[in-house]
Amino acid sequence: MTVASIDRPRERNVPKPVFIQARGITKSYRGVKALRGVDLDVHPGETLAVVGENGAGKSTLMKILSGAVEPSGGELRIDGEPVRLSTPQEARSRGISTIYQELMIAPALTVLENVFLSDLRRGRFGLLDWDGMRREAQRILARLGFPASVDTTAKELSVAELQLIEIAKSLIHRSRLIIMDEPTASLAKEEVDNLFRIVRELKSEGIAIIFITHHLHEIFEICDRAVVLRDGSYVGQAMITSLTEDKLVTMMLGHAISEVQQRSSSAVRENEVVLSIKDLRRSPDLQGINLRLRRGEILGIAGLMGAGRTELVRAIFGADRVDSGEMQIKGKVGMFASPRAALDAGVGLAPEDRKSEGLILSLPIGQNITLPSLGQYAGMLGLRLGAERRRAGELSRQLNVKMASLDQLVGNLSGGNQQKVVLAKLVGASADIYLLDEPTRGIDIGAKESIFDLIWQLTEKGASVIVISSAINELLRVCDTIACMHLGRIIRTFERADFDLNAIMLSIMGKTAGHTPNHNDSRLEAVRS
Amino acid sequence: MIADAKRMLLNSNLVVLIVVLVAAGLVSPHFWTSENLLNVVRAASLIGIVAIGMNVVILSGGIDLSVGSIVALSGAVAASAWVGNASVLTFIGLPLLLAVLVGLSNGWLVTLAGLQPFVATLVTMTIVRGAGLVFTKGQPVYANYSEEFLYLSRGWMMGVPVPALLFGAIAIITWYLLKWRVIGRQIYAIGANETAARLSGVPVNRVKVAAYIYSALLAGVAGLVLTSRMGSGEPGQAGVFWELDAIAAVVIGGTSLMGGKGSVWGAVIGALMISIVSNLFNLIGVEPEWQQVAKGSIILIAVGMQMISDELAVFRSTFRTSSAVNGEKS
Repeated sequence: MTVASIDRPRERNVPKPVFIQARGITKSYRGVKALRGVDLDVHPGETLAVVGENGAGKSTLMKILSGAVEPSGGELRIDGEPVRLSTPQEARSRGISTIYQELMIAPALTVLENVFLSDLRRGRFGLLDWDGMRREAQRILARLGFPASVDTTAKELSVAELQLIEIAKSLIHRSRLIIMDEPTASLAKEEVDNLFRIVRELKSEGIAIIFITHHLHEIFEICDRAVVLRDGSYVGQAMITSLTEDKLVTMMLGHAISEVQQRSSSAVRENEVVLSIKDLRRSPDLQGINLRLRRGEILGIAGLMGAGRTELVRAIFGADRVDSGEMQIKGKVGMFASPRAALDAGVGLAPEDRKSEGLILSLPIGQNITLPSLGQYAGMLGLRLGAERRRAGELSRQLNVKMASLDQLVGNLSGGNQQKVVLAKLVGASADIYLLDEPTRGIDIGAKESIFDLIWQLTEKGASVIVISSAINELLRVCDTIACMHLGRIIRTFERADFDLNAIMLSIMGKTAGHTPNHNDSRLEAVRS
Repeated sequence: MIADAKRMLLNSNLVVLIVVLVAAGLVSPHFWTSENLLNVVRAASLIGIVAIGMNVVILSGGIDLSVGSIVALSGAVAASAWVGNASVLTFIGLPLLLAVLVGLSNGWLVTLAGLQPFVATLVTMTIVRGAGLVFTKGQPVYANYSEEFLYLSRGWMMGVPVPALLFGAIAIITWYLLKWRVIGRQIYAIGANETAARLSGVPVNRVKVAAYIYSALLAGVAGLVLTSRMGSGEPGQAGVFWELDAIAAVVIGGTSLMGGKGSVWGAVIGALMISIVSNLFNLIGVEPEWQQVAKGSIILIAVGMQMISDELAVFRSTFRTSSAVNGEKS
């Protein structure tokens, strides 16, 4: 793929001195490459958007800049001088502050105490210089338009106000770069406007900002330049003035629609509906979900973090209670009271976080595989351990789990093989409706392919699958249907024939292309009667 | 079975037990007499029975502080029933029924009310101890037990003290439940990762309640044996600090307090080890005050040994895994 307007940063004609220069940064976690040779320049006084899908490597790169993780390879220069940032303190002393989505605020302390939490000033006799600190905090907070007194307890403040405290902290540290990770995610419109005003002011003082957001329009409103990452690689960068939303989305996904591999033909349209949901609600995550799943169908659910995707499959599986709504599974009406009930009805969930929710890492592979189906091996005198072991062996071979023996602890397997063990559990429990939440997250390309193959094999045997993925190009490959979720609703559903990458991308950001989103309209569309 | 035996040999607790046995023999020539050894087992059996129940709760990720109070309540109720000439069924059944009810309350407080196991069982520990005192108006109940009932604590069968046989039988039953029944596997799963267990269809609440009931029931049994041995029900004195002794036995036996790891044999070995050391100190004439200090030190040593052996196990398993995977690739 080539994007003509993109040039590598080292070939750019740089007008200002570069503050941070990253070259060929790589990072592997247990053999999985999160970053593969990424270049990044940060200039004083610029607002830089780092964009990419979930899992593209943005957070890893930001963690490296903020000293939270060390890169496996590559070079980092600050003011032209090679540096190693092995702790957040080191990064901060070099002028780099990070404001995470989860704010680092001590709720029981006052604003003043929070601002100076990591940098208490001492005056005479080694006593804390509260008067000096108070004056400085008041000066900085006034500039940021902070409305409350510095003696207010942090827990009484709104998220936007807490964010101002975080910014004040970075200013106290005389930061030259402030990394903001999804700062607008939980802000109201006017709070966003105030944040942008502050960003512009900081910029005019020569402070650089790295801005991470899922809302494309914000990038166009506030940023000067965008750097695009995909699958841990540097894709390119461009000045915002030379970009359009469509162009940026294409850079992020790296696929024109024609390049999408078609799923082998299937006539699921005529199959009977095995699962249907009407107006499912669970405050605040699910705001009236309607969907249908047919036998043999692979239904993809696309959406950003916080769209309610995980909450939806957990509600179907009986893991969480719902407020209201109707569900019909294979002719039976009603929600499942527990995961046990769901499994007994042939519904299986592969949870989002396989290490903490999908598997018991300290138990052997064999015992993990049979845990949901233990009842099958219960005899008069107790468990038929031989039969259990034989079945676990069969399932692990069927799903091609690469292991030394069934007695190996599942925690010692690679991510891809762990995911196969999770699927083996569900196959062993005779599931025929599979709910797969991010089944390919954090696993390498080869393992991803075998997971896709397994999904196809399952549907060929008549199973139906709902698969959640943040990687839309994967959904485009695997699914018959893609439902786009935004803020707890399915706002648009695409059949394979009308898969449209850009339209899907815009839908999950809350925009339905061509017309403004109208939830009643889109709900009808989602039910597609 | 061979794998089990091999694992036990590699088990650091068993090694420590053997070392302690050999050392004890060297220190005191009287230690290795069959009479003394059987005494050791008999002394271990009461705490041992309680520790086996505690072990099950700890494996499920909880803890049960109420067992000492249950021992007292069970003994006091049995003694009062005896004095009141109640039927055998009432005399044995009522204390055990009460124990089960306390276990059920523990289970409900932990699962339905969502209290921390430590807090929930601290509550029942206090209430049950108080209830025992209220029931007997704070006085010990002296019961003139018949020979048959005294046999439970003082008798011999096949050359072995009856309490020791009971201890062994309960250990084997518990081993069977943990290894060969669905619920045993589920207890380990919950203790290791409750969320994953629930999402794998394990009825978490039901299994936890069952674990607390089992622990309480075994404490009730221990209470019966204890009142038989003492010839009285002692609502204030019986079972004081037994919950801590039981936890100590479990910890010495290598069951992780985090849950999910350990076996019933650990609790058995732990109880035996405590008993051996106090027996040995009695033989060589160490004052009881020092025995407490020694008990604490033994816990420290046992836990230290486990940490070393865990490190070794992790090392071994990593090494084995990586070599296996490499072998597969080549």
